[in-house]
Amino acid sequence: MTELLVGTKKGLFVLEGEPGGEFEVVARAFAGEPVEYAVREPGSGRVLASVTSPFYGPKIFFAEDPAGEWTQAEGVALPSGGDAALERIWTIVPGEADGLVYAGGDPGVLFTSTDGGTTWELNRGLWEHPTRPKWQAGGGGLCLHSIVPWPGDPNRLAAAISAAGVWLSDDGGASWHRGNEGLVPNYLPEDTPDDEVGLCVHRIHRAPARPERMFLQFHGGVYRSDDAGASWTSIADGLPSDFGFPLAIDPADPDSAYVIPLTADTDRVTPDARVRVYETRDAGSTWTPRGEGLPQEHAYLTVLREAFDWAGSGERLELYFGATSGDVFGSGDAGASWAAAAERLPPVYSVTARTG
Amino acid sequence: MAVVRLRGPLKRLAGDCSEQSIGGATVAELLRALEAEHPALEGWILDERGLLRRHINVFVNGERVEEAAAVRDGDRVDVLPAISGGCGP
Repeated sequence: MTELLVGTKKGLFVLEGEPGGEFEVVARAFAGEPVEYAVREPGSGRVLASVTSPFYGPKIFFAEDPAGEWTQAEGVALPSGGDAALERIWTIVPGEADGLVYAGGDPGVLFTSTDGGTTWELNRGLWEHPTRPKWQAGGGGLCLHSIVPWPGDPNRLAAAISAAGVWLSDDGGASWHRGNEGLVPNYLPEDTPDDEVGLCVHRIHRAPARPERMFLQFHGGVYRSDDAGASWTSIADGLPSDFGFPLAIDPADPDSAYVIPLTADTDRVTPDARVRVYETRDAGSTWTPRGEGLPQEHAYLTVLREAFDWAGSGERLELYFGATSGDVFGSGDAGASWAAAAERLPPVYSVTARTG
Repeated sequence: MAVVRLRGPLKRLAGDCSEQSIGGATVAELLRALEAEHPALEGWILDERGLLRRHINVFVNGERVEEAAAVRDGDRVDVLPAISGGCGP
C-alpha cells in the first residue's frame, strides 16, 4: 500500500492505494485552507503540513494521525520587529539525523527543527547572507522550494531559491556559497556578471546513489551537476520545451531523472495538449516521453514544482504527480505506464509518496 | 480596558472566549497585550513587523481602523477576517 499526501488549494488529502491503480481518499484536513506541502517524517511517522491561511498567515502543523488532532509548531516566523514577514512555507524535508527536519519558504528562508518539527529555528546563515538585498522574487514570491540533504551527512546541504539560485553548505547550514556556474538565464543580458544571484531555479534533486550528482529544472532548461552543485551542464536537448517545474529521480539509479515539461513561461500548460513525463536513463543524454495512460488530447495541465514525488526504486519505482486541474496520476512501473490515482480534487500544490 | 471580540479560530486560540477585556492605548498595543495573555494567538493577527495581517480587519466601535488608532476604556474592538481574504473558488 502506498500513501499519498496531497496538498491542495482547499486542504490536505490523504490517499491510499496500490501502485498503478486508483487511490482512495482516507482523510481530509484543513478543509478550505491552502495546504502548500505535507510530508510524513520517516523516523517518527509524524505528518508535517504547511498551511497558509489567507487570513492568519503561514503556519506549520503536525499530527501523529492526519485524521486526528493537529498541533501548531513553534518558531515558524521571522525575527520580530523587522521589516519582513514570512509569506509562505513551500516545502518540508526530513534531514539526515534523528529529528532533523528542514522547511523552506518565502522570503527565501530556511528553518531547521531538531525535534521532529515541534519547534523551529530560522537559519541565520542564509537569512543574513550579504547578497540577500540582491535577491529577486519570482512569480510565486521569493521561494526557497528545494532542500536537498546529502545521504548520511547532515553537514552537507543544498537549497534552491526562485529567483536567487542554488546555495550550498558544508557546515550544516552555518555558512552558504553559490552553486550557479554554468546556468544560462535567457531572461538576463549576456554580459550579466558571473556573481549574479538572480537565477530562477525551479527545482533540484540529488541522486542518492551518487550524491555529487544533482538534477535541476531551470526557468529555461534542464541541467545536471556532477560536482555536488558547484557547476551545471545543460541536458535539455531532446525535451519538447525548456520550461517546467517539477523533477523526480530514481534513488537506485543516478543516471535516471524525470521531468514534466510545460510549453513555455508564457504558456504554462502541457505541450501539444498532451500530458507526458520525460525520462532519461543516461543522465540526460537522451529523453524518452512516457505518456501511456495519461491524457493525450485536449489536456492543458499545469504541474507545480512540489507536485511530483516518488516511492521505492529501480524496477519498483513508483511515480506520482498532481496538477492544478485536481487530477493525480501514478505509475507503479517506473513511468512506463500511468493511471489516474485521483480525480476532481482541488488544485494540487504538492504530492509526497510513501510506501507502507 | 477595551472589550476585544473574537470569532472562529481566534476565539478558540484565546481560550474559547469570544470577549476579552484588554488594556492598551492603541490597537497595536491592545493586540500585543492580547498575544501576551494568550500566546497561541501570536502571529495570527499581527505579523512579525507588528502590522495587521493583510486580510484581517479591526474595528473600534464599528469603525475600521489601522494599528496606530487610539483605543479608550470601554471601547469595543472587533477582530474579523476580511471578505477579501478568501483564496478564490
